[in-house]
Amino acid sequence: MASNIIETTNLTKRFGKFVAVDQVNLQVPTGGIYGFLGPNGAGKSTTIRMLLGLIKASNGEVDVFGKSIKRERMAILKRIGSMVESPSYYGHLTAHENLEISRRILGVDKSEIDRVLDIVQLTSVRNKVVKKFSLGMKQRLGIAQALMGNPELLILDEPTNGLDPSGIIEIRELIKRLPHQFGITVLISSHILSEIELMATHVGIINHGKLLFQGTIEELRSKQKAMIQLEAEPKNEVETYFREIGIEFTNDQRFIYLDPSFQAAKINRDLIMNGYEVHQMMIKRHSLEEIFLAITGKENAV
Amino acid sequence: MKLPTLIWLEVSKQKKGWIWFFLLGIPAGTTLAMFLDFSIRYDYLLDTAEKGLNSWDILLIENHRILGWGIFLPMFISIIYALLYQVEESQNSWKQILSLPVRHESVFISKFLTGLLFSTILITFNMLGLLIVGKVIGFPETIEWSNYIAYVGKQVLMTVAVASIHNWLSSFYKNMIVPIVIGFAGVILSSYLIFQFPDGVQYFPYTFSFLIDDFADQGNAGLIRNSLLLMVISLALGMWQFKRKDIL
Repeated sequence: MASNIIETTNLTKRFGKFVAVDQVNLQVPTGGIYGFLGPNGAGKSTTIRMLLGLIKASNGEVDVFGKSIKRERMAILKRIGSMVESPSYYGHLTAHENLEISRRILGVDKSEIDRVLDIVQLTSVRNKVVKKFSLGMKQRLGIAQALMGNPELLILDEPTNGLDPSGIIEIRELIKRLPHQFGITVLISSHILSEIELMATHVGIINHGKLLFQGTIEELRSKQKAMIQLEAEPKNEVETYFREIGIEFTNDQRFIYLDPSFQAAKINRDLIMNGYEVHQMMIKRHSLEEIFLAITGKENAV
Repeated sequence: MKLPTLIWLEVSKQKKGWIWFFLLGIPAGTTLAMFLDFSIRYDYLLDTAEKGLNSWDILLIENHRILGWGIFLPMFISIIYALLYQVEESQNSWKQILSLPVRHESVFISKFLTGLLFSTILITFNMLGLLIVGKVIGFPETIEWSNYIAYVGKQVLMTVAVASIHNWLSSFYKNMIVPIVIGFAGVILSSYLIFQFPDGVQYFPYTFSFLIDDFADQGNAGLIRNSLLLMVISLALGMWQFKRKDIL
């Protein structure tokens, strides 16, 4: 089996002059959970639609299971389960009837319906029309549809959108079980880092159509560099003092940041001895959220 | 993926849907209208009919030409196809269906054939309604089954072009009203063309269902050929377009 279950090469999608996805080279390793992160409108759904052959790429290639989506779409889709954005269903039909449609197309055994309903815990409402379902139940039905036929790869686009906190936890726990329990590789997109952080083994961050970061969650965490955050006055004179004694620093309007290799206690003492007012001094570590915002250009946090 | 399975799925998607009200409601309306027509002026219709026509023939003519079934049929077909595609558009189900291992061509053809099946049901129900009218009124003549069965068969053949065009239009437009308005415009235009340009109507598919000659001597071969030809062209172009469509 290829080490990457999904690989894209310079994947690009243009709608007229607007470039929705710009030369994205996605590499989703087999096994585990790949979190595809980005703000709304970043290009996540367009990329996912190209992975499934729902949208034709303007340029570039999509390979899934080592096969080209252009040439072997049917063979690839037989091995994928997906839920793109909001779950699609026929509201006037029951959960069972909706799943029967997918089951017939996939040509799998009738028992599959009971199996997937059991996984998403919708067995008790199998004969209820879907338009009477809560949003969480509809999302779970969407996941049940995606799980039909034991796919090797599950692609879920914003599966927790619109859910309340308990619904989010429920879906998260369900997704976390899939790689271990069923051997399924999961690609999940979201615009909420904290949600991905709790389940993903790998992360890709996209914004304005460009893939800005790709790696393991540990690699992303390694960007959580620690530093000494200092607030002292007069700030300009403190900075001049640091320059004179050869201490490198960065700053913003309020704080001065120093490398944590410096001895904080010694610096504190020196500043006080030299007549500066030290209001606060602490070890500061950027949260993943700040790193995400910095990568996606929403805030100059790093 | 076998076509019969896809057609079965299309029919099941319409379960509890509006299409059944439509398929039953329209023929119920035509039946009632013909019943009133023959209750009020059966004697007059018999007296003024061409020689050689019996009550059953007159009933067909009244239904087809006076009530306007033949002229309005393309519009009914446009509504059937709009409903068939609306079931996907209303919940954006295209992305779910087309991300399953099924060919776009198969989905497109299955929609076309399902629409044709529903159109045939509509035409058959209209014919069955006429039989009920004849029985209830108490026509003295024996029913000529071959005429009535041929009436259904010819209508189906004459509407395949419109069916194919509206399968394409309904797959193209997200808003179901647009193909229905086009169908309605086609009906209005065809009633104008039939009287103003009788020689040109054989190329305008919305007139074909009106022109079936159950009551005339000429054959329908030319019209059937045109209907089938237009069906094939529309299917090919529609399929080409549907395959290229981005599912957003």
